[in-house]
Amino acid sequence: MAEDLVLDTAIRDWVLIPLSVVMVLIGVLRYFVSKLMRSSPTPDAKMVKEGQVVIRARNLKAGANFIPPKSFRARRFYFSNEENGLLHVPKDQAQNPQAQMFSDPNMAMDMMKKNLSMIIPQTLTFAWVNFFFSGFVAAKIPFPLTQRFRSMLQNGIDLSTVDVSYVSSRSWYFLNLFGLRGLFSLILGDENAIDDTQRMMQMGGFGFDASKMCVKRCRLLSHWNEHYYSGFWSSAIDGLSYNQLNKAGAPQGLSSMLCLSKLARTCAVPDTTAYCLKASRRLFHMGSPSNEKDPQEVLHATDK
Amino acid sequence: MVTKTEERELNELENQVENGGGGVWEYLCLVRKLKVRRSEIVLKHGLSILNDSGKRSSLGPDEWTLYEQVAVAAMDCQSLAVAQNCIKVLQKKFPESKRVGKLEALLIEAKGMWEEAEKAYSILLEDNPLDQVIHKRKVAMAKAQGKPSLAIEHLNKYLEVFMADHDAWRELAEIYVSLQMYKQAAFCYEELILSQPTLPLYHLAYADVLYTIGGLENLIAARKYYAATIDLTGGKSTRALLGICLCGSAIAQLSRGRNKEDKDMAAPELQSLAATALEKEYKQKSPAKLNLLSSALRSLKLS
Repeated sequence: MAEDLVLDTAIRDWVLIPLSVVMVLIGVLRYFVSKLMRSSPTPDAKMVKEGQVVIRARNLKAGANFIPPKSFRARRFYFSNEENGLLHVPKDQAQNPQAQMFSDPNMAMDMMKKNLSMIIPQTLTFAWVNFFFSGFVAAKIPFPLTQRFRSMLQNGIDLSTVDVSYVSSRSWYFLNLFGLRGLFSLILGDENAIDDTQRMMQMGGFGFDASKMCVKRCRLLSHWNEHYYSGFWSSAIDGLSYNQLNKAGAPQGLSSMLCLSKLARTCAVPDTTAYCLKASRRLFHMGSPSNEKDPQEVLHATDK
Repeated sequence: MVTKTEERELNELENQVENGGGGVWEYLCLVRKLKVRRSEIVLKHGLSILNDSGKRSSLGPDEWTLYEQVAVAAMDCQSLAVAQNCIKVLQKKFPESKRVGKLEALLIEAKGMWEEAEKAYSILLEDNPLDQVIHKRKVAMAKAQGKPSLAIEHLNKYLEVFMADHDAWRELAEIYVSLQMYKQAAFCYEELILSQPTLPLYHLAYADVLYTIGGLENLIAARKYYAATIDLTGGKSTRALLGICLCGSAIAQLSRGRNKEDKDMAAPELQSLAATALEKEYKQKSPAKLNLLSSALRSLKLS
């Protein structure tokens, strides 16, 4: 039955506005309390160094085409060397970030404080709203909703025939919770520590773990070689596609395959070189089995 | 690096302030934000605000940052008495403060008493071993005392921890160049190019260093980097154009006895293009020197 309910303006005066005002005041209070309780974190030398190493490795990968190949290789070796490369973290040392967080007492205390400062006011306010402002229709949402939202938005209203657009004050509380973020950034300036929604999203993934990033950088750098010689050479290799050569008959195919393997060797792409050598050997034996020279020998001879 | 809009805004405010208009406080805030070095103006106008107790109290808590800024500017202009007064006021307000301790050590350094300054900085470093500013002050002291090798040592130690600090790499590169250690300077410039590949300044400096080291490979690389600089500056870098001409003639000289493959590397078209561009620019900007340029270019092509 979709009939319009007339809501008392007293609801607006005594429910909606006071609830918003109270939430704003609690937010401001939390901001000042967090400012007072904040302890300046002493940066760990190892963490700082790891962070900077990751930045430098990222720059190396991004700007790899701008420096001479020798210097690039030297730096890549410096970073991803097996024994003492900066990014190389041996397997047993790469700790689980969660375990690390709980073992470090300072960090654990900080996290506890942050979480508590968020959870306690939320819980208290929620309980207060439920206690005082339940059991009546507080507002009407301007757009229609499906029946599924009934349990969420109409907790105190036990009539199942009321339109779902009429919600209780609990939904007003949630609206304020997520919506007052903009207002707080206006009043309190940019640095407000009560960004609840962001904090809740952060709770899922635990932030910065330098050692994992180091391992990732190391792997990226060691695979980077294939992409380094981009441009002319790789397009040449692509152009001389393998299938075409295989179909093109033995002698021509052979010389092109030799040429291709020489190219691949110049670009230090070992897989391609090996493939081409195998293919050229196959073509060679197909075409002229009486010929003494092995394709590999021919390849080495032309190198000189 | 300061962007163009910020630089323009800074210059506008500076003109306004110098010619008696208002806006001193905005100018000081902008200088502080951009970390630009305009010590004389800051000192003059900052002092005028601080000496006027009405304006001073209107600043509120920002008064102390202004004191700090004026103190540093005073030390830069060698008016150590002014700096001493500012620091005394700050000390009274914030005793036992690390930030004020840094200023005191800076004052000792400005007076030229190197050993005491060294001691003061070491004490500060003990409390906070990861303070970038103090490390850089130590490097500056070593440089001021005329001990570049000590400065290099300190910088290297600093860069082992803070390796993403491109200002430090730049400083190290310049010290190496002043000591003629060109290979190490080339390494530093490579780091700079990696971190900021769109800045033509680093490409130009790297090309200069490569050209100085010499050798055919380096000359070819230097020419590539000069070309990159021209590309990045849209053809406006005179130094890079001249660099290309010089590289071209040097390469031609070195590869005179070699076979055809290396002769192709000489790329005479590039050299002639650069020469024409240079002559055009000289005709525009300083036609008096055009003859000099033409004779120099001709001698390069012949050799």
